[in-house]
Amino acid sequence: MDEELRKRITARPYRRTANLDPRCKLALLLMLGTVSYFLNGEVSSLALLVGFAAFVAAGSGARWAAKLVVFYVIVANLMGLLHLLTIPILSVVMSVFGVTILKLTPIVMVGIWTLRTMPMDDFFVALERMHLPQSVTIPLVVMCRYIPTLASEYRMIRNTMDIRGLSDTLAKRVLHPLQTVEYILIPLLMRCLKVTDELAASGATRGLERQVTRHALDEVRLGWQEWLVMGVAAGFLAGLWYLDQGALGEVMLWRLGR
Amino acid sequence: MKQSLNAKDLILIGVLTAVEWIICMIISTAMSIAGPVTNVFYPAVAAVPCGIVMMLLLAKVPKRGAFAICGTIQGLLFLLVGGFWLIPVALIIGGVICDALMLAGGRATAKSMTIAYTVFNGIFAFGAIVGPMRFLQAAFVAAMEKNNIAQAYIDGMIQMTSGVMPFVIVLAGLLGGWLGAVIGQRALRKHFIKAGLVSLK
Repeated sequence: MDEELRKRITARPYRRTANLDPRCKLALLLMLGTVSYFLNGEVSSLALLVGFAAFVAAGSGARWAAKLVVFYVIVANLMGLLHLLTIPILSVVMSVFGVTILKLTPIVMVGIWTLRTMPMDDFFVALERMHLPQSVTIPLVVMCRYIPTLASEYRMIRNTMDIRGLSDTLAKRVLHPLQTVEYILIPLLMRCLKVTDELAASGATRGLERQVTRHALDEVRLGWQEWLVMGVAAGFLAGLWYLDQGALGEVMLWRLGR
Repeated sequence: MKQSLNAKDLILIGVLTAVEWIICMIISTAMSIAGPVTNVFYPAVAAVPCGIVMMLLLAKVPKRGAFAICGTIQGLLFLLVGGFWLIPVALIIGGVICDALMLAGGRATAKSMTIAYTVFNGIFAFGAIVGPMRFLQAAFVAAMEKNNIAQAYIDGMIQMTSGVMPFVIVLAGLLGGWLGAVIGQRALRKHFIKAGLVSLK
């Protein structure tokens, strides 16, 4: 094969950690999701976020990681301030809201970064190497590919609604659920059917249905780097969890007074 | 009608499951935040809009495996975003059971789809709310307490899942599933069947 062509096909716009095997990234996400909810201390939660932010930043995601760390600190400070005042119902709602956001931030950070930096072809090959059947790999890959597209589809529907003079606010969407369904969900589903046809045609021309082993120009394998990253991550999470059970879990960061 | 799934069916399942999962996530997050009373009923409420998506999926792909794959993939995604492990288990088992249930009469009809989707949501309500709160209450409450969640919310959660409430929650899940299936089939008739995109037996 022509070296020039091969180089062009396998060129990746991402650097360092972003080029890890998809399986490695998924394993990290899984570990993170399991641990995030069981880390209760404020210091350890922050350490978790910063640790993974460093990992994401090393893989072409510096701006994204910085954005979420700043967001986390702001929310955590607001949560700390919340303890100073008590408003009957709102206080409870806000505290739950805040905790949910804080717990989800690291997962969202790594999850969206994974979606962005993971070429779907590599993902497909990686899933196949895990010996998953086609009936699981195809929907999973299509889904990961389609979730970002959903947002733009939704925006287009909103635009069309604007053009037709159907105003749409959050209050309206909640107060008139049936109209929301008719105006947003049904067009969205119509689009889904169209997209499916197109994707199926595109897939057929690329031999999606062939029941054979796939080969890839990219190197898709679990090398020593992947195992190293997974080992370090597991150690990091286990260490945090262990420390969190002890004194570290009791340290308050964001609380003023009380 | 015994046909295996082809690539087009699998793509359709992927796309529609994405839509369904996003709807489910938005509703569950909003309702968990709003308070303990709404939190325990989120599977029931989420089932209604998801019913429309699911009915479209089942009408388009009335084959063995469609329901199971949909449930499995949603379960995997819940696992990836850090859902409690009982949710994926319930979704996968529910998917497999309902797959068999839907095709028990030989082929998927409007009625068997309704039954399957209703049962599926009952299982989901059990796995998402009743299971964790009933059997692992101590761990759940401890985690919430350390997370600085207001005491009123924790008390509310305990109150909402004791006594006869588990049955009410599962019942609400079943009802939500049934309502979702009925509304979904009505929406199918009004929009998709009229346009000749799907047919419903």
